Amino acid sequence: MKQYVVRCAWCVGLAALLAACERSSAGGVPVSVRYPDHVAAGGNQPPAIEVKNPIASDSTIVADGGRIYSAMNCDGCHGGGATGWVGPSLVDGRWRYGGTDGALFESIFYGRPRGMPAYGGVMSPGAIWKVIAYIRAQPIPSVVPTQVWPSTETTPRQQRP
Amino acid sequence: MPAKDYAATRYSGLAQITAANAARLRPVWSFSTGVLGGHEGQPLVVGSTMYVVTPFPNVLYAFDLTREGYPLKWKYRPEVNPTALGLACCDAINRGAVYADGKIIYNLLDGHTVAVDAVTGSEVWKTQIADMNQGETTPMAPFVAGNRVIVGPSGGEFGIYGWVKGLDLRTGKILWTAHNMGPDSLMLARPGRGHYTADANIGVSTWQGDSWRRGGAPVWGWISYDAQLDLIYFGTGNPGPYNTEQRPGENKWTNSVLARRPRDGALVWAYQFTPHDSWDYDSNAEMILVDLVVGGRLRKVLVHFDKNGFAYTIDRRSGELLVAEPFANVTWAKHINRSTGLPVLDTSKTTGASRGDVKGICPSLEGGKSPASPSSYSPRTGLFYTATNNLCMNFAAAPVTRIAGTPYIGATTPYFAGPGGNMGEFLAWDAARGRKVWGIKEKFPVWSGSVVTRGDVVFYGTLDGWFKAANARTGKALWKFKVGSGVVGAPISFRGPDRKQYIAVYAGIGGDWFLLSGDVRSDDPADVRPPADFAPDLARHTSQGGMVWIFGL
Repeated sequence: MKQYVVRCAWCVGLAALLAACERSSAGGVPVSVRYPDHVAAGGNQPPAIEVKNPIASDSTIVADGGRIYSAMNCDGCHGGGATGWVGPSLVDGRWRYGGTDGALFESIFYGRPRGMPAYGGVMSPGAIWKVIAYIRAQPIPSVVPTQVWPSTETTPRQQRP
Repeated sequence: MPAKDYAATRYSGLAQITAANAARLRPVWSFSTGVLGGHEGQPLVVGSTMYVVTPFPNVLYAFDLTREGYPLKWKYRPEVNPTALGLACCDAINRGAVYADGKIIYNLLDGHTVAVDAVTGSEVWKTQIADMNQGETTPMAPFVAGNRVIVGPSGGEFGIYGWVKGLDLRTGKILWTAHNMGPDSLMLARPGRGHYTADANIGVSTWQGDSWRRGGAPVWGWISYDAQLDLIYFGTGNPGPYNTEQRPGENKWTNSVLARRPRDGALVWAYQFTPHDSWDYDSNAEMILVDLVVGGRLRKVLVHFDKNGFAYTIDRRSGELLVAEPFANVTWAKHINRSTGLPVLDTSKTTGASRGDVKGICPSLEGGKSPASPSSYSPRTGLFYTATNNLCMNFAAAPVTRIAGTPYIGATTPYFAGPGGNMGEFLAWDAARGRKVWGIKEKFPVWSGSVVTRGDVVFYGTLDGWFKAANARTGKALWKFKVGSGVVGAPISFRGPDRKQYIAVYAGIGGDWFLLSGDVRSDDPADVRPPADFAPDLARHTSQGGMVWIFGL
């Protein structure tokens, strides 16, 4: 825990997360990142914190994030432009594990069980936030729920709902 | 065994199904495996039981062929670490099981080999063979020669240090590990062998610095065995990374065929198909062992259809190249020099980070033929039957840093259809002369294995979900059936307990096509992709699925 606190001197978001963890562990309840898409049993949200990307995104940050995305070999699984490869698309506007800043940070920092490596040991939190800024800056392609093929065999048309 | 016999011919001696009656084939049974993902490999029939290994999570089913509806005798559900899903470059596939000594032996994706009692389904042994922390996974079908189980890893896209291992058939204990590059001591090699090279420590001197330590050379394809010569033959995969400028040198023995002693792993000879590979031309495709008259002499040869688009006929005693002719459209090389064994390059097609986006390379890195699509050989026709891909690519390499457990690739490689526009062809090949005898053009790349029978019928499947029979002598189409999902597996032929001949095959598009086809996936609402631009119609004909089919007359 200590080494993260030192790193997080320049990382507001994670420091807040850890501070919350420390507070909560006193009461015996580990506090996690909030997933707004989850159903809360009984309609009552569990204690959770909201983590926001502490880095204000601009074109420099996005370009940095793009370079880090390649340098960390993210493109090897999620594809160039993050459009999906053996790993899922990150630019279809949809998320397996939640699309909040906190959920994305957790996915990269701790990894996910179906193959996402934990990058927290090789990437600083600041670098992770830049990658998140890069992913968020990508346009969402016109992949929409309905796909129609014409009666002849050509390129399928995308149709907006 | 996975490829029918030691020689990997995939030839069935059954002859009830013939060119005259194949049109009457009909489905007699089917079973959903309950698993999506690429159903590569083939079922295994031993006596009156059919064994099926699924892609991850690698369930093993044992079907009782003596009872109506072929109910299960048992199923074995191993614990497999799902982390492996992020380390398998190209879908969570499995290429099948081998039977020996009363055991069904196969690999789990997460780096384990298991042996299961063929009668009871109970686990006999389980051995960790590969290290996922280094990017190694294990989808290949193990091979048994004598009392050794031979296994190897995938991970050519993860900078692994490639190897094969010999396990004790009885206990699963690892008895030897032989690397595919590095010093002779780690390659279990003695210098002075082989037809073309005699230098010591060639697995170090053909690399810069210690780049061999992360140089790839995975072993994810098929293995064959000549019991008389006591040699196993297998191909190695690509060097890593794809950016050639990070690994100057010929990079031996990546993209090679290696001949080793099964007992102790000793390297007897090796031949490299694509030195200093610039295009991801793995050589993991099967080495089919036959005796052929080449140039007027009866030779013991191996025949290999390489991803690089050339079909090779090689003397399997010495490694001497006898025939090397293109079976697909090739632009990266002009020809193969038979006396040196080296390709004569078109240097305008050589790639590297400083060379920018190199256009018009054929075949694409999917290969003129995929090693995932094993060929067959009929001693009756003397012909080899193989799936092929007619795809080309552009290749833009870039520097890349190895981070263990993450991809180590460094290239962007969009594809397009080759000349003619048909992206695939199933063809018959004369390996003594190095020429195509007949071919059946297919709209999409052909990614299935094949089986050929004594009835002179050859079977294969297509990505758009057709399973087909053709006359092995003429290539005339005889029959087809829509099996529900694209075929990337290899058909088999077997005699049922009722003495009738059957053909079995998996449906279930995947493998590279899990990545490439874009939109054939419907199980994950958080992963929605556009269709592949070079094959936009594919999803019109298929989605993922996992089915076992049996056909009969």
